[in-house]
Amino acid sequence: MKAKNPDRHAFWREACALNGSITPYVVPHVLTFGAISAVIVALTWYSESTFGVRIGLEVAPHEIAGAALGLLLILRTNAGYDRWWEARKLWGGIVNQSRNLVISGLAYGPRDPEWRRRFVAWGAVFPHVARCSLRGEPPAPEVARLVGEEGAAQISASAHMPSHVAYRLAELLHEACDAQQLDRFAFLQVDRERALLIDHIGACERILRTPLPLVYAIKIRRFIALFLLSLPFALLHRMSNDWLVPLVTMLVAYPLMSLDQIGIELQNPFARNNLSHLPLDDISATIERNVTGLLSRLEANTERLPKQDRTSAVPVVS
Amino acid sequence: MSEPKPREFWTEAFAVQGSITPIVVADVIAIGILAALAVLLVHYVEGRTGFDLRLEVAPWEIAGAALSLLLILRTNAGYDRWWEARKLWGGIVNQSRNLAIDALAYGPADEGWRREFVSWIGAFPHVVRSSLRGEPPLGIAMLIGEADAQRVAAAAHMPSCVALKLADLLRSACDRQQLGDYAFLQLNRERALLIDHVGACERILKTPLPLAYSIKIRRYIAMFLLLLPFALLNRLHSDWIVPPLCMLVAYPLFSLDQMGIELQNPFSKTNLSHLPLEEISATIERNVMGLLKERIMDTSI
Repeated sequence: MKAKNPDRHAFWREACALNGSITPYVVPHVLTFGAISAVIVALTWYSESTFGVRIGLEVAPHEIAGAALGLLLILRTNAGYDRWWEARKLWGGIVNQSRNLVISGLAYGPRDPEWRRRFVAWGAVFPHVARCSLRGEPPAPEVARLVGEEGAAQISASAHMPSHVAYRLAELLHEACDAQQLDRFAFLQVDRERALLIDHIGACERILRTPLPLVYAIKIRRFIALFLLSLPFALLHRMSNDWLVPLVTMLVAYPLMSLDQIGIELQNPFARNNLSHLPLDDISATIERNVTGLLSRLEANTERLPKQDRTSAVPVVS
Repeated sequence: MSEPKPREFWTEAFAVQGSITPIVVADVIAIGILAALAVLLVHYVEGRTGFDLRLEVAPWEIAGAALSLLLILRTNAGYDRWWEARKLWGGIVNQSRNLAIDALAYGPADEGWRREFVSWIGAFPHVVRSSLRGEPPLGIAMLIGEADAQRVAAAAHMPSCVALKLADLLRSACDRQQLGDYAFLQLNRERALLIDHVGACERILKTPLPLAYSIKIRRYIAMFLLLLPFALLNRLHSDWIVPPLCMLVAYPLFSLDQMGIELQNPFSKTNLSHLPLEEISATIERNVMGLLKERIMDTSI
């Protein structure tokens, strides 16, 4: 497992990066605010020279409001990051639960190779189905490869795809119990792991379906707009040349708009078209590789054993 | 699974629908009028007695920073409650699905029992929603029949009544030797978690922000805004800019305060940005009934 180490010497590269940055999204808004403040400067210059009224506000309210607005935005970015991190944790949980489920199933479950193969296939298919369900896509090609065309068709026809997979896993467990080949305590354990899969996918759906409360989102953006639209008035007559005002306004607008946009991008960590979305394809491929690896390892071991030890259920006649 | 689309900056910045501005406009205008009266008062006192009522603005700068911190922390507390409530409803979704999956996989093969059990699971979120909103139960008669719906409506605590019925059904399956003891343990754990989630929702519903805290915040806001005109009089070219400026300061303060109130009860339909409980309960019902249908189709083959 290779860790993702940020390059120590990459400060300038990352500071000026365009790929994966939200700057392209906010540039039009920043330019708009620059244009509006240029218009404001022109209008005040015109009205001051014709009517002789001095226009301009104190800058103090903007200092306070700026601090408050910064806090509000940071809380929002923080909430977005929390969602993103929680989503990653939940997918980490899916990784763990899938491994545990398959380990327990293989160790405590029936020795029947057909049952094992089916159990591992349905366990490996869960992350793929969960990913497709979260992204609103039909089941990926991996699904048909693992459980066959018919299984994939049943999955895509079901009301809630991950539930269907969990149900198939439960059915396999039930089969094993009925055949007296799964101990009751082991069953409890395995079924708990299976139930946790549903808890994790449900929590991912909660993150997906629940954006920030609308009142909160509206208010933050309205404050940003009010702040940036009134900023030129406060900056007037404070600098050597009033034509620096649009430039300064744009410099203030850039971080505010970027923070706002980051909150939006982190809000849905599953969608592929969002920046910094989670690498769900990699995660589900890892799970599949891990659990099928467990199975092939076990099958290789069983084949090496002398024939009579393979199935303990068959009494050995000596 | 559809995700809500993020909206454009400008449409959201000037949105009226779903915003709290209409609620606070009256208060903001009241502050403007009071500020105008304060300006008149200062002029009058100055004209009659020559006494200058104008104050220094520095204390307001410090108090303003402290006040906005206090308000933002409160908004954050409101958001936390809202998010916790959403998590709890997510838990109800998970537990209902798990309960249905377990019952269908491990429970009796008898179709009548299955249909009854899954219908009661589907009714649970509807009952919880009605109970949290203090309404009579809606949309459950279709699932569990008129007579049972009326019995649920008459119960002291409706969700407990549904949980009891689910437990009764589990008991009858056990008695008929059609549900293994260990599967029963598992099913009953999921059923008990439903009650835990409802109880946690009720905690959020019945416990507003401590009264001492909310009184203090509002008193600070009132003092800050009522005295602000006296501080601003010194600083501006024309005294008649003072009332609009006070209104500009009052608007964010009142909005933040109101936002805390709105997020405090995330269940009530009259609150802005309340949780979409109808949709969540409909999703649960669709999911568990879908599982039942798939299962019945499986067995009939």
